[in-house]
Amino acid sequence: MGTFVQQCINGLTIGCTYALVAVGFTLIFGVLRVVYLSHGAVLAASSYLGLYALAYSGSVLIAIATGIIGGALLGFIVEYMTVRPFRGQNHLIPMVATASVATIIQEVLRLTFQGGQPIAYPRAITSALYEWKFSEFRIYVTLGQITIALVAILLVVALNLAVKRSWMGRGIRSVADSEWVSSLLGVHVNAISAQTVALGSSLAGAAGVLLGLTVPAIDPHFGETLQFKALAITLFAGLGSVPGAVIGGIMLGLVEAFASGYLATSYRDLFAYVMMIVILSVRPAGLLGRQPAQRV
Amino acid sequence: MSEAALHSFVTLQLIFILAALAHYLPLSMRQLDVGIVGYFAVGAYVSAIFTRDYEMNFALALALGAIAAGIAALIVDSLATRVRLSGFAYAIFSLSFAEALRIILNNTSYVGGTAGFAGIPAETTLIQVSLIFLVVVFGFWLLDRTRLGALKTAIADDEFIVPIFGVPLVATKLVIFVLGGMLGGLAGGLYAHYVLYIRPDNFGFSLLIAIQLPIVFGGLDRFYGAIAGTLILGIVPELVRGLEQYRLIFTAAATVGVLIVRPSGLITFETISRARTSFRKLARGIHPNG
Repeated sequence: MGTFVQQCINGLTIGCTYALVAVGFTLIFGVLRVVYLSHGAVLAASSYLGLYALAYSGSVLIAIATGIIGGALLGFIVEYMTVRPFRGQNHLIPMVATASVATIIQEVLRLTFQGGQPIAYPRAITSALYEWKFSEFRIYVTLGQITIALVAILLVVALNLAVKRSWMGRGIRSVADSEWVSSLLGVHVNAISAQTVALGSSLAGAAGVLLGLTVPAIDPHFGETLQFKALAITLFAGLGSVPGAVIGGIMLGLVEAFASGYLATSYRDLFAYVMMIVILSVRPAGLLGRQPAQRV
Repeated sequence: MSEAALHSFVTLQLIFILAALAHYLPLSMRQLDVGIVGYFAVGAYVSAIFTRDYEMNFALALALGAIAAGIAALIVDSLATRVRLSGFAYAIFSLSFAEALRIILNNTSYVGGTAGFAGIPAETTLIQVSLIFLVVVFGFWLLDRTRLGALKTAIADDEFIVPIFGVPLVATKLVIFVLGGMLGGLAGGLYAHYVLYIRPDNFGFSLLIAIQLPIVFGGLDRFYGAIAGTLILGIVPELVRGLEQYRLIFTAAATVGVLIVRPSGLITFETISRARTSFRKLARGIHPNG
């Protein structure tokens, strides 16, 4: 029973970060119809920024804020290079272009920070352990885990408000419905496109810092796996669905936690891919998604 | 560059061109078959197991590796074509196959797991690779002149209109996919018997980037676009002093740059026909611009 609850808590926290990454990913896909493969690289870059902010300021909150701002800025740049020039073209082109820019970001990180050797975040700040004693078992929660859960919930709620209740959100929703009609009605599609990618990337930036606080060490490529997990979650939840991405992220986190708790740890990463294969070969538009007419 | 280094550079470059051509086959139907790294890995591991553990003839092991990769492609792509996956959904599907295979290989102790597969006999020579390369290029040249080649182009243009003309779309696509998979497996087998030590993480996302970006850079309209792209992006970093370290950055930046300026890549149908006309004019003794 103790292991079960402990794995639940571990799964929930890691699931929160997956949800953050997946929400950003699904937002960008839902609005711009671009499979945005720079997400993982932006996440890794923000994670490095957060590491340095943490080292200079010593405050986790400043590190997270740096990650968010850095992610948003990188998002602007990547959008300008890879999404904007290829709007309306075969969707494989922005996919390849974002993958190329991701390679550039990763290589710059590798050449800048210690030749790509894994770097660990300072442990002392987040490893403060809280212990709950129940009649027959004990549960351990670290300060880092609590921070992750709180920040993730806060950010997803903030994003939801920004999309549902703000002028920018109104523009984003209109572009998601129809780029062409919204440009006729005077919405600046270019600006909305940049804002969407920046919003999604800022979530990835936050997730980068939060993950840096929990994983043993970060390296330039640690975002890649996460990006593909985000893809799996997005497919699972239906492309473009934000609540689906949150649920899917937390579910994947739980599944992985139980798998590494009860089965072999080395197979943990396999679940996301098996999930993608099964879902795509049964329901190509995602498990909970409507089956839309594919644009050729 | 010393002679030995040049020798190994040319061999590896030719193997990568073979892999690029394998990836180009589905791409010429505008299907992004990311599984290429998986087929490459299947070919490498299967042929290496046969030559190392069963002391089989190299040519036979290569063929078996290629067939195994072809079967892998057949399984993956018949699952995908059954539900008419196309576009990015297909790309993601084949990517999951490649990544799942990598994780499984990492956990299989028979092939060494994460530690890698060592002790592969050195079999690949430059002459063999060059011969295979010439045969494959000739095969591609022939393919462009057959009905299958024409169907390939038709599918690239509009895959929903093709069945209307009574063409078995799924079967055509599968044939191309399996051919691509087999060629990928062949390249993998050659690679394994040249570098002599392989590990699953060699066949990850970065290999895909290294194979794919040059093709997009070179252009998808003709197979020599893939060859030219791989050659240019492979040779230029070697020639320019100090660029080796920034090799991947150079490849990626060049690809994005070309995509922005020429979305169809360096060599397009248009380039080819223009070159052909001016060549004919030159042959007849007329000034190309006259």
